[in-house]
Amino acid sequence: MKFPDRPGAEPALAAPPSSRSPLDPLTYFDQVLAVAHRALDAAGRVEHTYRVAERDLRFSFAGETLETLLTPALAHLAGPHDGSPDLSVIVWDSQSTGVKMPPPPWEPEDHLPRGQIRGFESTRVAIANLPGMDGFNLLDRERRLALYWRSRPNVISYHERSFPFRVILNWWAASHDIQFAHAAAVGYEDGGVLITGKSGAGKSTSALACLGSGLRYASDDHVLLERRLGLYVHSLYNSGKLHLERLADLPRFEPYVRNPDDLDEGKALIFVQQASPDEVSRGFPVRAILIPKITGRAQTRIMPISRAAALAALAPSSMFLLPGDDRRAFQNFARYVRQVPCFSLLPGTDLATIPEAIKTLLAKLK
Amino acid sequence: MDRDLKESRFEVSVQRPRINAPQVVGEVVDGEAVIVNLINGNYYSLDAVGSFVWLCIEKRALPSEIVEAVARHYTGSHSDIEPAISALLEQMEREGLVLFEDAGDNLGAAPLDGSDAAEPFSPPVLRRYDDMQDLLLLDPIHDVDEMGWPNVKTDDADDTDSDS
Repeated sequence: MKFPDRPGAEPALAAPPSSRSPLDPLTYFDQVLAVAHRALDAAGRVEHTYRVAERDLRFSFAGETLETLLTPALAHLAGPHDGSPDLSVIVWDSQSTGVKMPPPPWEPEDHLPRGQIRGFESTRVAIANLPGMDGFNLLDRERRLALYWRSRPNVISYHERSFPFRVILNWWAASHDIQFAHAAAVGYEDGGVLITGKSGAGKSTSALACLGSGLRYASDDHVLLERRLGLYVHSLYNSGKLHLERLADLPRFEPYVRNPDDLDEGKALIFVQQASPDEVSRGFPVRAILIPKITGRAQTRIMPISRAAALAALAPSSMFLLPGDDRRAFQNFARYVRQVPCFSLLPGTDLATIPEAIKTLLAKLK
Repeated sequence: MDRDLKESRFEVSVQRPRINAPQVVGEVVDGEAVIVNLINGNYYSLDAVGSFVWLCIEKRALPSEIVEAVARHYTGSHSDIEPAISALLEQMEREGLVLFEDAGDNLGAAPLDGSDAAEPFSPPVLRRYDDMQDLLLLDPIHDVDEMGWPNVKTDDADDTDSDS
C-alpha cells in the first residue's frame, strides 16, 4: 500500500522510494539522527539538563520553539548536574527549523496499537508514533540517545505540554527498573501518598487541592515509582490540569493558566513551579496508595480497600497508556501494592477537607 | 457448556487448563486475583475461591485435581464444588484467560495446597472490567500529511489523551 498523493500538497524534500526495502531499525535511527543534527545546525542548539529519579537527562532543542512549549513541566527538575547524562534527547520540529523529515520506510498497515511499528521489534531501537501524533519518538538504548520529532509545533496539544517526552521517559525508566505510572502524588519529604485511578477519578483535583496545606506536590497525573525505602515516588512533571469548574474553587491558579486559547475541553493547564515553586517536591517515600472515587459529599473520607482493588486501579490505567513491557509493568505494580496500605479516597466537595484527611492518614501511618 | 463437554473435562478426555500467556497476566494479592488481557485491555478480578483456582491453574493442575484441592481447602459438598469450578473454568476459557490442552501422559501436576481449612465454599466469581479498551483499540492508521507522514483525520492532534 502506497501513501496516497494529496492534490495541492507541497512536495516532500525526499521523494519516497519506489519500492521499500526491509526495515532496519538502526539504519533508520541513524538516518533520522542525521536529520536531527541538520535541524540543530539550522535553528541553533538550546540545552537543558534535568535530574530525573536522581539521574541526569540532557535535552537538546533545535531552536526555542519547542523548548518554550515543552520545558515548563520539567522546570522543577532543573539544577546542577554531574558528568555525562544518563540519556540524551534531541528535540525538533520541521516547520520551525525548515528541516523536513523523509517519508517513513514503513507502510500504514505496519502501525500497531500504542504507536509501535511492525518490524521495530529490535531490543536496541524503540519507536512510538502515538495515535494522533504528527511525529514520533525514537530511542537507541545502546547509545542512550532519543529523538523526539514533530512535524510542526501546533500538533503539540496542551495535554502533551503537561507530560512532555512521556514515551521516551517511560522507555528510559524501564531500563533502570523504574516504573512509569498514571498517578498523582502529594506528601512531605519523609512520606506521602500516591493517588491513582483512571482518568476522571479525581486525581488532579485531589492533588491540586493539597497546595497551600503544607503537603507538597509531586504530580497530578504521571510519576515514576521505584522500590526504594519500600516504595518511592519520583516527580516528573510539575504540571496540573484542572477542570474549569474547579478553577473557580482554587482561584489562586487563575493567573497561571497556560492554555487560555485551548479551554474547549474544559481543562486549564497550569505549572505549579510557576504558581508556587516552594510547594513542588522532587519525590518522597510512599506511605499509602489512595484510589479516588467522587461521591458528591462535602467531607472527604478515607477507607481501607483491598490491595487487589488498588492493583486493578493502578496497573491497567498505567500500562495501557504507553508502549512498553506490560508483563514486567504488571509485576512491578503488584509488588508496589504489597509494599504499602491501600485506601479509597472519597474526596469531598469541600476541597479543604482533602488535604486534612490525607494529613490525618499520614500521621496515623507514621 | 453442555453436560457432554463438562464430562469430557472431568471424566473422559484429560485436558489441562493453562494460563493464556503471554497475552494474559495475573497476580494474586492478599487472596484476590487481578488478571489482565494485554491484547484487548480487559481486566478481571477473582474472589478468594477463584484466586485459589487460579493458583491451581498456575501449577498446571488438572480440572479434577483443582476440584479436589478446593474440596480440601473449603468446606462444602463435592456436588456444589464441581459444577462451580467447571463453570469458572468455562468462563475463563470464554474470556480467553485460559486455554485447554491435552494433558497427554504428563498427568502429575505440581503439589497443590493440601491444607485443610474450615472456610465455607462459595461459588467463585470472575468480574470483567472493559473500561481500558479505548486506550488499546485506538486505530493508529489515519490519513497522511503532505510529507507522507501518517496523520489523524480529526483536528485534534493530541497525544493519547490522559487526564485526571
